[in-house]
Amino acid sequence: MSSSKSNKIVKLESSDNKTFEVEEAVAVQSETLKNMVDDGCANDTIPLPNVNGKILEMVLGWCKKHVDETVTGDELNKYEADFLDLDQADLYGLLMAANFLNVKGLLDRVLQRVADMIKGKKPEEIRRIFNIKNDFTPEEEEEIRLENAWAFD
Amino acid sequence: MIESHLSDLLRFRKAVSHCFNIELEKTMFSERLAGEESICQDFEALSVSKRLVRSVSQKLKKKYKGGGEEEDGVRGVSMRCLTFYGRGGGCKVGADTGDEFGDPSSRRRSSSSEEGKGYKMICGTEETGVDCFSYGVKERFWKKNNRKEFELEESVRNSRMHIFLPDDILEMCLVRLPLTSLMTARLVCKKWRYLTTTPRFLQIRREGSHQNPWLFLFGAVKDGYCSGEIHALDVSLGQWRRIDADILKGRFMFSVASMQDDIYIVGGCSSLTSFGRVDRSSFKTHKGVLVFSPLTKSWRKVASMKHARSLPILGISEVSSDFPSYQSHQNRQDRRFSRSRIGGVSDVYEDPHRLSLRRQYRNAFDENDASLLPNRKSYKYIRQKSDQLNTKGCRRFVLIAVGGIGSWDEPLDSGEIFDSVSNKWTEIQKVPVDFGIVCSGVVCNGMFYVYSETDKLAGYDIERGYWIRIQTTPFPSHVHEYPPKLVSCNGRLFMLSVSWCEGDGRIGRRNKAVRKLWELDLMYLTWTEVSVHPDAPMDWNAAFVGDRNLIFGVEMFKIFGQVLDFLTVCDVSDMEANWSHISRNHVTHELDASSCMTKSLAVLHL
Repeated sequence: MSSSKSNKIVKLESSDNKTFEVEEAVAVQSETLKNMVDDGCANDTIPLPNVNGKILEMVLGWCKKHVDETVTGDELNKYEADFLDLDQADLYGLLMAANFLNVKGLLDRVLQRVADMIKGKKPEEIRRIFNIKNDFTPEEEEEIRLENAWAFD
Repeated sequence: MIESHLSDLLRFRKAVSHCFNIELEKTMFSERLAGEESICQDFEALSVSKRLVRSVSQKLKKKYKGGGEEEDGVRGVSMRCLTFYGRGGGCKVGADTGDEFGDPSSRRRSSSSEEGKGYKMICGTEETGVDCFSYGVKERFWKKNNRKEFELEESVRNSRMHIFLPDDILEMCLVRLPLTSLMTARLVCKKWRYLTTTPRFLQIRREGSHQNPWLFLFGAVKDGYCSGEIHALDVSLGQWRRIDADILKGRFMFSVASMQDDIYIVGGCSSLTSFGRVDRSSFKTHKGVLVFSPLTKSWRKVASMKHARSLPILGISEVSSDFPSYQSHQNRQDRRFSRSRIGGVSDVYEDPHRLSLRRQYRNAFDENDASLLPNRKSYKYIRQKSDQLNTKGCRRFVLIAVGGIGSWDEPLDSGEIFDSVSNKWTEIQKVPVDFGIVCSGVVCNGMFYVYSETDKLAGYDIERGYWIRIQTTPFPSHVHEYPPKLVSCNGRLFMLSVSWCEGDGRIGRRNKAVRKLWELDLMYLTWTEVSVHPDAPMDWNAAFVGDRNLIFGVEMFKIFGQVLDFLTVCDVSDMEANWSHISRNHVTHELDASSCMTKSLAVLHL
């Protein structure tokens, strides 16, 4: 049957043992899962040990929204904007999951979101957000500043 | 509950020993700390003195002694918490007199001395305990209305607890930063600096179209001196920046061309009698070619031209790596007399001065541009490496210099071509003999198009190495003092020309000059008007440069006693191709009027 593919369900299990069932069309938004489906490895539940349930649910929600033909362009834009209104821990989790699962659109959005967190900020602020220790000596810092002084804010 | 918090605290401290310990203590009371982080940021930004912080916190502490008020401003509530937790963990107002706000080491010192004490005291003191816990209610209310600030603050809390981003993901984020933020990212820590300076990173950034156009304006003259300043405009932000380039001091009337991440500065002259001044009474003309890399703010030299030129017409183009070397073009030069297809290009011109001793002497003098450079230490050199091209992805290019003004103030008709791989200039065929003085040129689809002051168009086939005269449909003649400028965008050829525009037919209506953008259909050789430039053409030496689908233009002129600049941009991929103004906030009012004449423009994607 030509419609057999669209009825196929893919089962996923997160690191905290939550199972999710989604249509194949939704799952293949993830290149990783698509490869598995194409290779015929997707018949049993696919374990995803490095994605927890909360994050996996978010990712699948995103994929579902993008497959849904009833969603308008504007609605999708709004959805995407609200989607990324997350705290940093979730954002990082989402980023790593999107990278692992290779969901291109989502990955791009989250990467841009993190880049936006860096944009326009001073180094001290960036260090605080990302919990980074400053390992430059004052002399080194000065040297770097002078190197590209013209391009700094 | 407190005991579990204590064990949490100790565990976190062990795991993340280099963190700001104050932030750790804060995490324990994470639910109660809305707004504090934004306060920290605000205070840092404002550089509020410790004393002021303390005095304000004291005032607020008094205010809250009477119990919580529903009408608390967020900041007021946060301030209280700040006092309690932010200062070495004590519920002590004005604690830690030695603290520099935001200084991690001193925080660490103070908090370690009160290990375990800080939060205990807070929960222990009844009054403060009550305030802290009741605060949670307000915080939740506030949270709904101030999502963004809360998010950042909570995100800082949570970031203490989780794994850091792996390098490859971090790299993917950093590659999306615009130039100014990228420069700041390099200051964050050694790892970030390393990640953002590898050739691979720069390559990904280039190819992933995460770059934005930057305009570079050369030729600033201040108080009569060629100051060697370069003014750079970040088009996306509309911000100007100034780059001091001592190496360019005193040099004027050079031409510029951009390729990949570099700008090539070709030829030009310097005054011999009064160094630095725009003075052509006694000057020397340069053969040298300088290369500027804005990303590393470094300068280097490539091979000098065979002929010294000022204001040469330049064309620059990437070529395939298996492009025939220009050595073979030498042979073509000999065959040029037999070429008949070009109809009259048979080149019988021989340089009568070729045997002149004076000329030979001057040429020898020109070789040593370096000796005139004022101060070697004031700029960096990157040694010319043969593998330099490999790091840039083996992108071979050629740079053509045609015409210009020679050492004797004579118009030149010779041309030469530079091959980036061999680092050599080779002479090319001269422009067709009756072509006239070349006033503008640009490379488009492998052809270097040049336009003459007598409204002729010719093209140099770069690969085959000969000139072709191009006959096009008639073109409205330009206003004499305003030489037209050729630009190329995405394989299309355009020209900006100032012509007289008819008055709308009414008697007595004065004709006015208008600058128009024209496109040449490269197949049928017909000119079509594309759009009209909105500004009255005041600058005869307006510079235009094409970049991908955009044409940038700069006009500079003195009016009402001031030098003003006007930058415009046009998107030719847009059907309308309208011009819009970009940033007028510039320092041109500091410049001399002669900058109008000496200015030149280049655009890079950085």
